[in-house]
Amino acid sequence: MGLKIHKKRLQPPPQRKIIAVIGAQGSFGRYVVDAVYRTREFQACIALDMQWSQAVKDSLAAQYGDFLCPAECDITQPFAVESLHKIFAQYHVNYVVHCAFFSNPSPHIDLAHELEIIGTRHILQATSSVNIKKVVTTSSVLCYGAHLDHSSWIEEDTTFRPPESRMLKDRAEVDAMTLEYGQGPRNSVYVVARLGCIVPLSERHFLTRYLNQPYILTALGYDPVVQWISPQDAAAAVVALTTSVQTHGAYNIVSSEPISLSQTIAYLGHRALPLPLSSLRYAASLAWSAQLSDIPSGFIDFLKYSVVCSPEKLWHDTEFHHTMNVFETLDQVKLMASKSLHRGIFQSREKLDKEKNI
Amino acid sequence: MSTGSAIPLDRFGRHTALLRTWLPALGILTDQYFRLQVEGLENIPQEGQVLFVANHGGALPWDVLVLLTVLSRAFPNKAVRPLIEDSIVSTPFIGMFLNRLGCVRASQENAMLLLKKEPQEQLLVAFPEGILGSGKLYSQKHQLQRFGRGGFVSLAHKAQIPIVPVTILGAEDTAPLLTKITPFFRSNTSLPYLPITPLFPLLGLVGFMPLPARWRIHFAEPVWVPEISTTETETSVRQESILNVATTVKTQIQQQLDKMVAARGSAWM
Repeated sequence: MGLKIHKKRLQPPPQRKIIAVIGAQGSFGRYVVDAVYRTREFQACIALDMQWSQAVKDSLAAQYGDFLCPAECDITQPFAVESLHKIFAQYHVNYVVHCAFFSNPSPHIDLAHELEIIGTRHILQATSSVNIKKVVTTSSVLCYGAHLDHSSWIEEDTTFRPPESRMLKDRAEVDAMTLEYGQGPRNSVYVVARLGCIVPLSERHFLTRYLNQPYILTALGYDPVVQWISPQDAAAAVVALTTSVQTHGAYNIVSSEPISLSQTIAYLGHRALPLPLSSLRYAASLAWSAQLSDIPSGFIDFLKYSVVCSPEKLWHDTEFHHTMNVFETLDQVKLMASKSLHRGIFQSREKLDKEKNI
Repeated sequence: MSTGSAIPLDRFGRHTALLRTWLPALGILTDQYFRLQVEGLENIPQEGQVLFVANHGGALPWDVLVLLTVLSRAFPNKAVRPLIEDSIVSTPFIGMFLNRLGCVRASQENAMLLLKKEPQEQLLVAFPEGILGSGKLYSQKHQLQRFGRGGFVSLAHKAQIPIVPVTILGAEDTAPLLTKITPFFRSNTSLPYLPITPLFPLLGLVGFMPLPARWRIHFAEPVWVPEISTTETETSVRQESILNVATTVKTQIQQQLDKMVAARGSAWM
């Protein structure tokens, strides 16, 4: 008995798991915060964003109670490293998820570049100097690009060949920067979550808007295969990457159920409007230049060739399982049109507790 | 609302239900229209994965479709995967349709993925002549073109599967390529050239109708690739061994083709 007490005294106190979600107010960040809360693996979540209004803070407090702590930091500012360092130290943060990115291609190239490249660099610098165990940065599988000579099952070691889009080029740079950081002699583990086609991320997200048109533009004679993933599953996968011990390097976060674009359109009850590829590219280029559309002409390639990625590394290294099939995901796109989904995702802590008890 | 997880597509884009729907129609095309005669089906190993190596010809990939039909009917429980060249994959409508039926872009990587990762047993079909085969003029019919660098031999060796040489007669007569217009098309479209056939572009899209030639397909006995050295110091020896097997298979197909041409007589009657 006495020996047991002695052993107990020798054990170090269990370390609290505190996670910081950077870009917590963004379209994807909100889902990550929710997924973090649902895992029950963390004692607290520091929700970082540029600024929080009192109304949002109050609403979050009502939803998540003292689990969530909103903090402000502009990651593009020159003093961001010090600010982040201070926040990480103050709250004893040991896990960081970085999802402070534009979800839509932005015509404001300078601003996007500042946020994505400079901001990421600041975050990586800040995490390397404090006791952070793991940093997960989000990237996109679209960075692989749509090419004829791609493998039919793209794995994480495939070279990036993004189309002509500043957003994807920046995202590819962020991806490379994070992986490079992970190769250095550091205490932290650096992981990149390459997110697939998430629908419906938000009402204003370009993929949601594309899929919610009555007539959907497609490339005449082509029908690419797509892997739609729900934001809930994508966020849960990001959190699984954070909590799993084995993870390192890059991971594709995509659906395991490929579906063709024509099947998607048919399931959503819309109609395809096929146009010759050259006209489509020309029209997209014109619309982008006139700022009538936020989809760069380079994205038209994704209407021609499939980008089918392998999620096997994610399955192997984490315990992540998809909770929604592709039709349930597409059902959410339909629901998004009626604006009911956004109200539903941030459920109150009490309501969740009640659900779990049941 | 949800229809469950019954996704009709596999990760390579194959739509199993679509193939099942099209198979009766393709059967009528091959049996009634092309009056296809198949020999040597008994030579195909019943168990395990197989790599079929066939000659290739004609302005349109009718040979891919006919072989796909024959093998899908003979082996309904296996997945038939013709490996098609880039120019077919990127051709509007045709590339998409063939992909849904099971065709995959020809590459070592894709072939290995099919053999290693797919749960169902795979029957791969390679056309080593590639675009040289489909792009040969009618005046060069029944003459096999260069068999690449023997990639199919390396594949069979790596995967430890047998090669079944397949001789196809009729593809060049069904879609005879009289001439081709290469300038402009190669640089401005995804097509390598504009094919000129007896009916196309004269009759517009109707010109793509296949001509009612008589088809013959012969499956030869399987060839097992002998042990090939994999050490780097013996690269030249290895390459030579691969090319030897490739040449043997090519010669076998050419000889069989010559025999079949002589035995068939008229391509039409």
